[in-house]
Amino acid sequence: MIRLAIRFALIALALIVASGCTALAPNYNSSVENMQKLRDSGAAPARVGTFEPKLVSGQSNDYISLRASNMVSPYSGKFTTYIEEALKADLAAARLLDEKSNVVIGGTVTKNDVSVASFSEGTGEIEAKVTVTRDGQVRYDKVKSAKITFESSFVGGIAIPNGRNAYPRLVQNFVAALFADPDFIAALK
Amino acid sequence: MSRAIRIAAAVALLALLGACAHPISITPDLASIPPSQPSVQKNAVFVIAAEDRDREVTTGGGGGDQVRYFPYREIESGMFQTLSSIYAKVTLLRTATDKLLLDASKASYVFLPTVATESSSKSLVTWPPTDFSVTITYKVQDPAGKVVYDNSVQGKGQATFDEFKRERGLAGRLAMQDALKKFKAQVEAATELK
Repeated sequence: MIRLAIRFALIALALIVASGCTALAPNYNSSVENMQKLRDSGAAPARVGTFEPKLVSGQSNDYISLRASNMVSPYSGKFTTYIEEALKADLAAARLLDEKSNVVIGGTVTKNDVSVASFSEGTGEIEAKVTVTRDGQVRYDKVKSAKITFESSFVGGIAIPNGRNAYPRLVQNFVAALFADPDFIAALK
Repeated sequence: MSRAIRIAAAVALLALLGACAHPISITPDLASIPPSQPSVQKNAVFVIAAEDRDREVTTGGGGGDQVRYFPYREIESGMFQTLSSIYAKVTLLRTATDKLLLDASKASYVFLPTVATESSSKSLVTWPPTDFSVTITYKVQDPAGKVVYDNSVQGKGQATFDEFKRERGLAGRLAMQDALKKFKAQVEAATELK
């Protein structure tokens, strides 16, 4: 009985370590298709300015709650910085990032969330008002959004990592939606 | 009776955990592969088939558990960035047999990589891997399909509890980055690939 209790305690400890506390969202994983599309679009080099958080009630720029665990951004601890870094990574890979460019991509993030509250399906959503300015003149100003669904589970040790791993794909979908917008590409030309 | 319930609950929990393969991310940090002006003014293609991209693999973790991830999906942006820092224009294709796409890419070299991974943990009570290896084995063909070069590199990554408690796939990410760094050095040094 004592051995069983010890085993139970070890498992409980492993569970806490595996699924509780605070953990980083995975790094952004660029989509090669996105990078190739941007590179071949004829867009001119640009730089990425600031994305300001203006999140709906209950959402934070500092963390996303996944049941008993908090997910935090690996980029300065801010999810708006995660979006900025994602755009920088894709522009850089397409050789279209120029920190001295007079064309600046920025915006305001209004929704940023991942949920594993359901035992069957996890969900995620990003919504942001994106602007492109050239010499201070607005050339693009639109609300863009992306959603994702993924497998959830009753077991926190499965649902929480699934939620964390979904975030880079959610950002990838958001960036893809932006790059697929002909008006956005035109604003960069 | 209560003892029987406790034992049953423990057995159920053990069964649940025993079946666990935890999803992790091992995506390399692209900042570790800084973009640079290409040194070879030729185009290159690399091929990762759709079925490889969507293939999830399971390898060892700690405490009898395992980890699962998508090695091809996670490496392809890093490979694109690595090859883009060497060749003038790089294109990812999902097949090496589509002559129209190959011709359109105007590629001088066609890279055909395979990725193999291993992981393990020294820990009995935590599941994230403490040791990880990523091996990239690759053949390079000319546009006519003749193999002009083949080689492999192995990247390794280690992470301790203090390091992986915030990033479960850290050892894997470090192994990916190490493999890509060695891959870049090897391709740059190969006279057959100039």
